[in-house]
Amino acid sequence: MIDSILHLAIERRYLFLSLIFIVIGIGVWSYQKLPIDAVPDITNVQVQINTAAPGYSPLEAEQRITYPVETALYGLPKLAYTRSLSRYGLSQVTVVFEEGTDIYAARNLIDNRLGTIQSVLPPGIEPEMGPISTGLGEIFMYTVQASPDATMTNSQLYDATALREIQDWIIKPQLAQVKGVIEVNSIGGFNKQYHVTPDPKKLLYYRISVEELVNALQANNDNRGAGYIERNGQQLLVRSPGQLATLEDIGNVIITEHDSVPIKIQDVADIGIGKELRSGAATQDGKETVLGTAMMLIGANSRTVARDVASKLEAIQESLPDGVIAEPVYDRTQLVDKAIATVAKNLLEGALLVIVVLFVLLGNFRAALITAAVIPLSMLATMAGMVRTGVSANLMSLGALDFGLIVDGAVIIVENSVRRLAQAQHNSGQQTLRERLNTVYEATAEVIRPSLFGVAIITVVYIPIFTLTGVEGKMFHPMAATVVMALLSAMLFSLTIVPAAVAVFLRGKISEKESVVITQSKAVYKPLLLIALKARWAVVSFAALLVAGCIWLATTLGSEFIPQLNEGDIALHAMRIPGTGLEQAVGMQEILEQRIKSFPEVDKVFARIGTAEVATDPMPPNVADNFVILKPRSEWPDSSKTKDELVEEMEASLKQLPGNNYEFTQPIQMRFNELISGVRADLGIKVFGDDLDQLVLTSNEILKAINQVPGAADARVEQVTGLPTLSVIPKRTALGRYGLNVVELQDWVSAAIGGEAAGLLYEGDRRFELIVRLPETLRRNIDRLAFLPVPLPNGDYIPLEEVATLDISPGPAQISRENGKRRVVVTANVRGRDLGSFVADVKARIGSDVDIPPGYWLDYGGTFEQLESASQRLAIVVPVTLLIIIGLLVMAFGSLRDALIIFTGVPLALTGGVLALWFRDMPLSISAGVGFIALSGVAVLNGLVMLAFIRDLWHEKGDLLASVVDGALIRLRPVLMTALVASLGFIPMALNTGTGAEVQRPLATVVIGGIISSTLLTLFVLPVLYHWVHRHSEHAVKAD
Amino acid sequence: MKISRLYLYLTIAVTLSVTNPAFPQENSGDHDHDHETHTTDLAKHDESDEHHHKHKNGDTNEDDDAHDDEENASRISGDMADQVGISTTFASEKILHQTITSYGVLSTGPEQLSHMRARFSGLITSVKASIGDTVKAGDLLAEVESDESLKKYSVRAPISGTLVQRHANTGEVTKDQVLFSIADFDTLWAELRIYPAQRDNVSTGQAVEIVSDKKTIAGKISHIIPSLNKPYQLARVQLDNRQLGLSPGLLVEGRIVIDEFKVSLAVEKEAVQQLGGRSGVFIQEEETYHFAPLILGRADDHYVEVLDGINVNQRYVNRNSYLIKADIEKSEAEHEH
Repeated sequence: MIDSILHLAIERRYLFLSLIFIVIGIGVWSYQKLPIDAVPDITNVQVQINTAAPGYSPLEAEQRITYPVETALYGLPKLAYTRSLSRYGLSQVTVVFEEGTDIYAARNLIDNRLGTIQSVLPPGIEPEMGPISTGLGEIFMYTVQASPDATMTNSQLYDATALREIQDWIIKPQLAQVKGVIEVNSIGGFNKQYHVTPDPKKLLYYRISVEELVNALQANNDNRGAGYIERNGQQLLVRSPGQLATLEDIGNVIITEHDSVPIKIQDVADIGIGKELRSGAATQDGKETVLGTAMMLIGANSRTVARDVASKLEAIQESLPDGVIAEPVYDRTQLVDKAIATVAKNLLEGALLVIVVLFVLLGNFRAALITAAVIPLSMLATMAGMVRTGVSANLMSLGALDFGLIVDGAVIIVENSVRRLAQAQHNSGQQTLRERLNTVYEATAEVIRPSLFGVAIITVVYIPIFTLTGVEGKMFHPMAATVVMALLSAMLFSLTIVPAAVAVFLRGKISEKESVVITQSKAVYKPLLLIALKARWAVVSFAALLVAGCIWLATTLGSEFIPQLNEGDIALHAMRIPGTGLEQAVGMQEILEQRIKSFPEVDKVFARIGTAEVATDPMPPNVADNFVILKPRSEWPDSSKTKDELVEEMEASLKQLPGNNYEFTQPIQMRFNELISGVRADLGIKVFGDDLDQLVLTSNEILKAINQVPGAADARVEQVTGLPTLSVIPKRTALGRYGLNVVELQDWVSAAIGGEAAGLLYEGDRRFELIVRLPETLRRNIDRLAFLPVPLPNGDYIPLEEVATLDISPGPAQISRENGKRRVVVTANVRGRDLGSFVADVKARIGSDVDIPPGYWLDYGGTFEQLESASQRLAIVVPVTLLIIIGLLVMAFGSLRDALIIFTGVPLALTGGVLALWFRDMPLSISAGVGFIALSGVAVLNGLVMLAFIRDLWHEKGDLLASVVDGALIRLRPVLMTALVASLGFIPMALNTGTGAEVQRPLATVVIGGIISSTLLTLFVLPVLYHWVHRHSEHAVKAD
Repeated sequence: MKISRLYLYLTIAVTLSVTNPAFPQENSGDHDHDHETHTTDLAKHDESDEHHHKHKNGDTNEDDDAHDDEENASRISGDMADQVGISTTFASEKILHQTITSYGVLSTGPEQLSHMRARFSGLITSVKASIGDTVKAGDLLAEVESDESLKKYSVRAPISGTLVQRHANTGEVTKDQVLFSIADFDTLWAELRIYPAQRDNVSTGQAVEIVSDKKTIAGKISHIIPSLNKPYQLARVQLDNRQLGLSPGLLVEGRIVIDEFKVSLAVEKEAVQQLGGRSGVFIQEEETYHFAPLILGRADDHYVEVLDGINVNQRYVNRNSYLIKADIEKSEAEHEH
């Protein structure tokens, strides 16, 4: 089949060449649609269900909302697991689906289920699904601030409430229009509310209950349409406006009559614009601010969306009142641009180097161009493939592309064609067209099989990467997929377009003389090869020693996940103790930010405290997400300072501030961590059960047991309690005596402290809540709360302490559940022993020491689990992969022995990679691992081409030694070429220091180092081994 | 064999690094390093960490207090304390005013309201006073001609006060009806309801602040009377209403000073924080603030009596004490998602 394709390609060469235009067309079109981002999206398929439950404590939120929502989700198709979080005023259920689930279908199903439980939920409570976004979603942030002297129309200075109003009603509606923006999330400032604060004394005096007041407000705040009247042929619409519009209107609402005098709201209450009981705040540069975050729709192109949002925000600025400024503070475009620039620079420089090498070694400019043309073509084809498979362009997916590797197949074909054409011209002078086509066909057919096998093998070695699951899988699947796509398209081109192009363009005189570099190399190579063939023992044992040494060296290298992409900015969590109030946190945050701002490298710093309007990241008020945006390096006082050094300095300086704990990270990284949110310790023991106290008790016992197991470190129990709670506990007998029901007491307490909603006030589109709540002075003073008069049904009253006990005690700060059950996690890390035996010990210890009550159970998880499953999987996949490679080699040679000889190329190639890592002081990482994988492929490919030639020669001539030497010499050029293009193609990557280069550097380093060793191997060890292994069969041949 | 093992080894090594727990924040080497600097440079902090650690382990064996105090400490430099708004004051002798709040209605005393009728029924011949007039005791209000004697007699004001009702016009027959009501609002009584929970603390003679609307009036409990068929008693406070213009029936708030005493040692209420389940304050010694668990006694709105745990003239943190609590407990602060 391959032969017929080759025939066709050469016969219909112009047709095949015109394929180029189709490829270019599809490629360019795909490029327009290719999502571009800085890093791959590692978020799992999840849907957040957020339910705002104003005033609900964690326990109530769990019981009334979280539980019904969770139960409703049981049995959803493709459901992986659910986890939930119940906090003050919020219930969040996160539903995680199996990979590959269609998010829209999943959301639809959830929506159906949520509809059915509406009647079970308390009135007014509505679960909402979070925005259809991912960890990469927060692409753009801006703050809304007023210049210090700017005044509102009523000549007052702008306050946080006014700025929030501008954000919610001027900026947000416009930004939400931008294509690709799924949500604009606000945090900071206060939602404007109209507050009616009745004086309890006056309520009692006039015998008015809060309920009556609320009813009065509700009954006097509506517009009504009343149809139409026809008069003299004209139609008149009838309406009766009655909505409240101003503070005065509210004050004039009549509640009831008292001695035939109407009692208005203003007689019993103060009316004013007040602040909501907010759950989050925002600060910038040490001042309170309003922060908006534009979130991107799943799968949108972050660069375009962020750019559009930025230009839209600029346009919006026009529509803002004078003195109010919407300032962009975080823009993903910059990072993406930088990362893409790095990749593009690497690819471009790599491609140029490849062309130069080809030209120098082939000595034929046309041939070099034909080979190089494969680069852009396969790139375009790859992009088309990426769009088809939904892989986004980013540092990881494009990071492993090596054009040297990609053109290997083409190099071999073109090189052989050039050689054969030159030879033919040398032998018989100028060829006819037919002859030339025939030569091209033969030359291509000669090497097409080994190079196809080679590419197939390189593709096969990527299989283990596809078996990675979870985060690692998400990170590296796109990389492997891209490389495989690039390789396959390059293979396809070398089968079709390359021979066609060779047939068309390589005419006229082909210089037979090889370039100086090659002749020189051959002059050096030949004697060396002969020596090596003689001293075969030395060569082989040297190789073996090298391999052994490098295995040892590899164990001494450090290891890391992937080298973290430097996002250029810093994110840090500032954590205070649980129970810290929002205003206290804002105060602490202001000092913290002033200190961060005092660093000359810092451009701006801003923070989110607590939970935003849309609870995509529900944090309690004691946690703040800080974003530190750094100035361009050129503006730093010391531009040679690394970011790590800066972070270290910052950490040291911030540690002096009392009351804060910090965790330094980066914006995107932080978001991923928040969304993925697994147990990040080696061992996590989840204790499931019903009673929170019992769970904590059992967890503490488990903690004790773990601490007795040798090797345990950083063992801790998840903090679930510690939020101080003021409980108003009804005294039932006393209530009965006064004729009160518990609910009446509760209503009163909640209206007094939390407030009661009494409708909306409209100002055009803007709508503001009308809240009835007791005056601040009464709410603030806890001691006085005991004396708060509670109205009785007969119009009388009693102090609160008569009918309720007030108790301040720590309560649950949050209740976490997983798969529908409460859970507390005990985590531990392991130091100085292996994880497997540690886990076994812990299990045994818990089994003997800890008494787990019935109805409670444990679940062992943590990274040890991933490790176990990954090791198990790889223990199967890796040998299978190796077998497949050997199988392919056997197919190519029909000889297991030859296959194994080629296979020795792999460890020897790896030695170079290990040495290069060691030399550059780099740890073993996944990126490096991908480099090793690519290397194995190259090593096999080279060995394959070399051995195939030697063997053919040997079969032709029958003299083993001569065949080995001749074959090796003939293959010197292609081997050197493939090696040089592959390693030079990676040099820009290995040396680049731009944004994102840290991800590619280890990979490039490994490949360059490995290719050097692999080339030496192919040139010396392989011929030696081949000769050695086959010398007996030579006797056999001779004997024949 | 060797070849495949190397491949296997490398792949597994890579996998190991994938699943390395310390990621993605930092590599494990760094982590260790961090921990070391922590122990050496911030020995103080570590001690407190350790303490909490113990606590969490469920180690219920309380160490002796002195030892405990050492560990519950935080170092904050003077500049830093100024910057973050930590201020200190001396523990000292204080006079505490314990108060409770109760509500009641303003009323007039029985002697302050007079409803006058005609002694003998008859024809009213003249009326001298009208609603709103201020009258003195003995002032002539009306003259009535008795039906029986046909003699005129005078109706005079029995008390001084304001004429609030008049049901008498010249030419009318008096019958039994009330002719005039005179009320004296110069003094009013606030009848504060004392519910059982407060009863023990309230006694006659205690000072009271009566709050009505924006006005605050000082008074004293004159007497406490049980009310009929009600669960509460009434503490009556006399108010001089000459300048105030309050009217009976108004609901007022009374802040009763139930006790007033001098304590030899008191700290500000705002200073008291909970740490490890105990209340206490943070005592400043130069740049170190350590937690002193206190045995607290009586309290009023601003101060709380200290029975044990702090000495006179020791400096304790009275503003922003929460920061120091936060600093000591911060090892517990973690970010959970």
